[in-house]
Amino acid sequence: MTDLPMTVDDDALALDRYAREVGLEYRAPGALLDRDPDAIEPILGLAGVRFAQYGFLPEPYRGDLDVPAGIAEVARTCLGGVITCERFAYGDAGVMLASPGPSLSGGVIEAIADPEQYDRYWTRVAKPATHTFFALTEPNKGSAVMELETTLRRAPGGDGWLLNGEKRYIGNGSRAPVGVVFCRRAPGPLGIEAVLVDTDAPGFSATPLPMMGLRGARISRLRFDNVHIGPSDLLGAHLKPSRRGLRGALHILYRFRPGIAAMALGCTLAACDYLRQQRPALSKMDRLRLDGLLDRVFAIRRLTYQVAIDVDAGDVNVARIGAIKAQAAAIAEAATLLVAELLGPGALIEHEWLEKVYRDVRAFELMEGTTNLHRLAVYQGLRKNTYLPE
Amino acid sequence: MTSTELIVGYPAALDDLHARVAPGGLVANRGGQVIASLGALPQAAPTHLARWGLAVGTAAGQPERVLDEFGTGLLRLHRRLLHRALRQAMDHLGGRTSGGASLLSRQLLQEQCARIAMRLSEDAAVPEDVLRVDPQARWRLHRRLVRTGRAILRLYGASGYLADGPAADLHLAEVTGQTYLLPGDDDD
Repeated sequence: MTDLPMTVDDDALALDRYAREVGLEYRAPGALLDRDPDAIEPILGLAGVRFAQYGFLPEPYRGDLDVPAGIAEVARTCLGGVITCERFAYGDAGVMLASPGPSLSGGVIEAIADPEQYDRYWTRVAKPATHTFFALTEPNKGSAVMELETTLRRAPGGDGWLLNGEKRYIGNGSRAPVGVVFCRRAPGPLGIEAVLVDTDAPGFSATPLPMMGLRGARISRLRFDNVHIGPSDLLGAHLKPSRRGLRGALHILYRFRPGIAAMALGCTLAACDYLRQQRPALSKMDRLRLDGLLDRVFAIRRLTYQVAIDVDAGDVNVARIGAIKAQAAAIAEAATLLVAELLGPGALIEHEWLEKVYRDVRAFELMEGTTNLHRLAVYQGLRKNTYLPE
Repeated sequence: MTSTELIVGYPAALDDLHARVAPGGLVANRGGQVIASLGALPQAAPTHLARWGLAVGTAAGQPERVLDEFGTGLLRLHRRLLHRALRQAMDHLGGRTSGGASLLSRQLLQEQCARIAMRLSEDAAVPEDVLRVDPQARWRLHRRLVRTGRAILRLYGASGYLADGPAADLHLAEVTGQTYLLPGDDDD
C-alpha cells in the first residue's frame, strides 16, 4: 500500500496507520454487502465501521471509542476525511458508505444547528448502529441547490411546517432513522432551508433503488407527503436566512468533495495492487501502460491531499475541489478498465472482486456533481485566475 | 439509428447470438469459457454474474471461423445497445428542465450527444469483413464502444447508474466483450 503523498503531522500519520489497518478488514464484508445490501449486521462489529460511526462525532458524544483522541480529532478535518476515505475505500467503498454515523448530515449540523439541535442530533447518532442521510438530490433537478422543488409550507394553524416532495439517490435513506433534507420555503436563494426529518414521521417513505454498484450504501428514493416538521427541526432557525439553508449545503458539499476523490483513489490503488499481486511479471509494454496510469494517479492524489489541506486552512477553491473529484473519478474508471485488460480474457468473470470494483468506481463520477459541472467551475476558476494561477 | 428497434435484455440477445452462430450449441472463448443466460446454462455453478441473468460455463473450443463470427456479432449487439441508449438519453434529457428550459437546449449537452453519435457512426462504418478476420480490430472496436457507452450513461446523470436501466445491459456487454474479444497472449 502506498504511503501518504506529503508530509503531515503525527496525528494524521497515526490516523493513516489506523485507517490502513482497519480498512483492510472491509474486503470480505464488502463482497457480502454487494450480494445482499441488507446484510448490514456483519459489518457493524468491524473496527473501521465503529470508527466511522463514532470517530467523526464531537468529543462529548464519542463514547468509549478506543482510539487516541488525536486520531479522532484529525479525522474530523478535511485532510483526515481524505485519509480515512482513501484507506477505507482501498478495503471497500461500499462498506464505508454503508456504515452508521453522521454522513454529510453531521456537517450541516456542525455548520448551522442551534445548541439544542446540535445536542439532539449527536445524542441520537451516538446510539448504536444509527445511520443518517443527507437528502439534497431530486429526480428532476439533480443536485442543483438553487432549483429545489421539495417544499416547506406553514402548517395549518402555524404549528411548524409541512414537507412535500421527493428526493432521489440518497445514501442509507431507507435504513436511517433521521436525516437532513434540503427544501424550499420561499422563492430565491434565501428561501432554501435544511430540516431535520425523523423517518418515523407520518408521510415519510423510503425505497431502496437498484444500483449498479456501491450497493451496500442502500441508495434510496425518499418521499415526503405532508411530513410535519416541528419549529425546532428547522435547522439554524436562530440564524439569518443568508447564514443557514443554502450556506449549509454548499459548506458541506465543498468540504466533503475531496473525500469522494479520495474514495476513487483508494479503489484505484486497490485495483492496481490487485493486478500486481495477480500478475507480478508484466510484459514491458503492459508495465509501461500501468506506470503511465500510476503517474497520473499519484499526481491527482497529491492534488487531492493539497486541496484538503487548503480547505482546512480556510482556502475553499471550488474549481480545484471540483477538478480533483472529476479527475479522480475518471482515473478510477481508467484503472479498472486497464486492470481487467491486463489480467486477460475472462478477468471479469474469474475475479469477482475486480468485477465489483469495476462497477463501484463508476459511482464516483455521479456523486457530488458530474464532471460537466466541475468543468464549468474550472472554467470560472481559469477566468478568475484561481485555477492554474500564473 | 432506430430507437424503437426491439432489443430484449442482454442475456436473451446473447443466447440468440449463440444460436445463430453455433446452432444447437454455445460458443466458448479461446480459454473454453462460455457466457450465456442462466436458462441456457442450467447446470453451471452460480457466479457473481447470476444477478444480471448470466451464467458462466465451459465448452470445447470452436473453429476460428465460429469465434470470428461470434465476436463480430457481439460488437453488432453492443452497437445496437448504444444506439438505443443514446436515443433514450436524449429523451431523458429532453424531459428535464433547468432554469425553465430543457436540458437538451444546452449547447454542452448538444455537443456531447453529437460527438457520441459521430463516434457511433464511425464505429458502424468499420467493415464487418475486417472485424471477422482481425481479433485485434475487434478488441479495439470493443474498447471504443465501452468508452462511448460510458459517455452515453453520463448523459443520464445518476439514473445512468441504475441497474434497471441501460447501465445493466451495457455492463454485460462490457463483461462479455472482455471475455470473448480480448486477445490472449498467443494472439498476434
